[in-house]
Amino acid sequence: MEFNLLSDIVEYCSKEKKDMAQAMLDYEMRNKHLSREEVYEGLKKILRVMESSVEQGLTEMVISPSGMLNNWAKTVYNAKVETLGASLKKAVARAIAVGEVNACMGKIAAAPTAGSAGIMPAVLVTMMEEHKVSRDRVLEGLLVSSAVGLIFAKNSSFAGSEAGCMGETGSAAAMAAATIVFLMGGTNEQILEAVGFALKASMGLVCDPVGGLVEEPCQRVCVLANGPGRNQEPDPG
Amino acid sequence: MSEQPSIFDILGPIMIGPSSSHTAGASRIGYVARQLLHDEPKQAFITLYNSFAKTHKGHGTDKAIVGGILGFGPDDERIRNAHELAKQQGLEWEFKFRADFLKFHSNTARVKLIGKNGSSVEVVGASLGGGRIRIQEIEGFAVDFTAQSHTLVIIAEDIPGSIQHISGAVAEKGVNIANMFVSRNENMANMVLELDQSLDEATLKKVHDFSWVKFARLVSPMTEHSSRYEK
Repeated sequence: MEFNLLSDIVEYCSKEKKDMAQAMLDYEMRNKHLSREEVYEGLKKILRVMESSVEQGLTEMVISPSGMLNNWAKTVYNAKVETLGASLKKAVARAIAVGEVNACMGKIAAAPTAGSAGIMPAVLVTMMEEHKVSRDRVLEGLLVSSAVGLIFAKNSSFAGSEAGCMGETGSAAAMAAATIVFLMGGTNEQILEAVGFALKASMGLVCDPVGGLVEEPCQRVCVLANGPGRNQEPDPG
Repeated sequence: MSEQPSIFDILGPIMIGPSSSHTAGASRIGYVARQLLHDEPKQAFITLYNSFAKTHKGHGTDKAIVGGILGFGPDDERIRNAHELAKQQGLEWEFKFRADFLKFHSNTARVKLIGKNGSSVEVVGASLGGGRIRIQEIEGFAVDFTAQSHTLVIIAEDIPGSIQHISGAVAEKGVNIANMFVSRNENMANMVLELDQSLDEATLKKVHDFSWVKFARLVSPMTEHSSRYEK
């Protein structure tokens, strides 16, 4: 079973009368000879690590060896001022939390890379906590994110050194945007729009981190990447 | 149809940060070196090249490699304290750095290990990103494997029929050979066999006991909780 373009996945969905999460479940089960339970076991493991990395960054001391990242997530999370609402503030704090845990040699789930690892957990935890999306549904959201990631993996690269920052945080932002729209009940067409939107917002970003470290500007870009997908949220009403 | 990527190549790996290439991949190189030593390491001499040499500190590359040598997988939180743990376990290590060695991939490490029983091994590996690695040299022989499958590494005198003897011993156990690479260096030959299943200790010993075999080791693939894997 092979998907090379997002339109291949959408086509499969309409032919099989399935949603994007089910399409990716079929893809993984068939290609890797896994049962549904085995795939979901893997997804649960990823989600657990994502949640604990958010939690760690918001509760533990996290100062990177360079000192560039220093318990910033907690400051944002507890800030009294909310310029764009509590939900976005918390999402931003969660993205920073994972970045800080990563820089401090903590355990994270790359999605798709370590430098962009804050984006998916921030979005998923925020969808669960602020939008009351169920855990099972979030696992389906992870499958949708993998659809987007798969197409990038096949046509481009996740390595910042090859594809620039867009390859890492841009891919993650597009994966996150697709996930949000899916979780809010968007159509496949709206999911694809969100992917395009997120990608256009990260076009041309170079990968030139300070001191060669996965800290700055990776951290700031992970914060920004929370924006594009969220602006694509379809009207739930 | 070529092998399709898994969704877990995109979501994952679960790893100790900050970098899949400079931390996760680095620990895997150390771990493969440990498996090739097949002994409890007592001393480690490590050279970091190029980007590894320049940015190892901020990425914890030095801790990750030592952690791998101690047998920690890339998701093992003990990596953070690998240097302290190594001291406790009586492992001595020494790092050298070569920042501009263009012959090698930008993230390359050379690891020489000496075991408590006197055995030694020298390995060169490159970290390719996403936690993937490529082992490029063992005991001075050019090799090329990813350690993603069970891999049998053999160095032997280059005598006629050696391949047949080794593949015979493997086939006797019903283990399928997925790939096989052979290279020669003067009168010695190096064989790398990627296997579909693991190989038992007795078969490994049988291969090792051929009089013309100088070195036979099994490298097992890294799984997420590979840190449980102990010889």
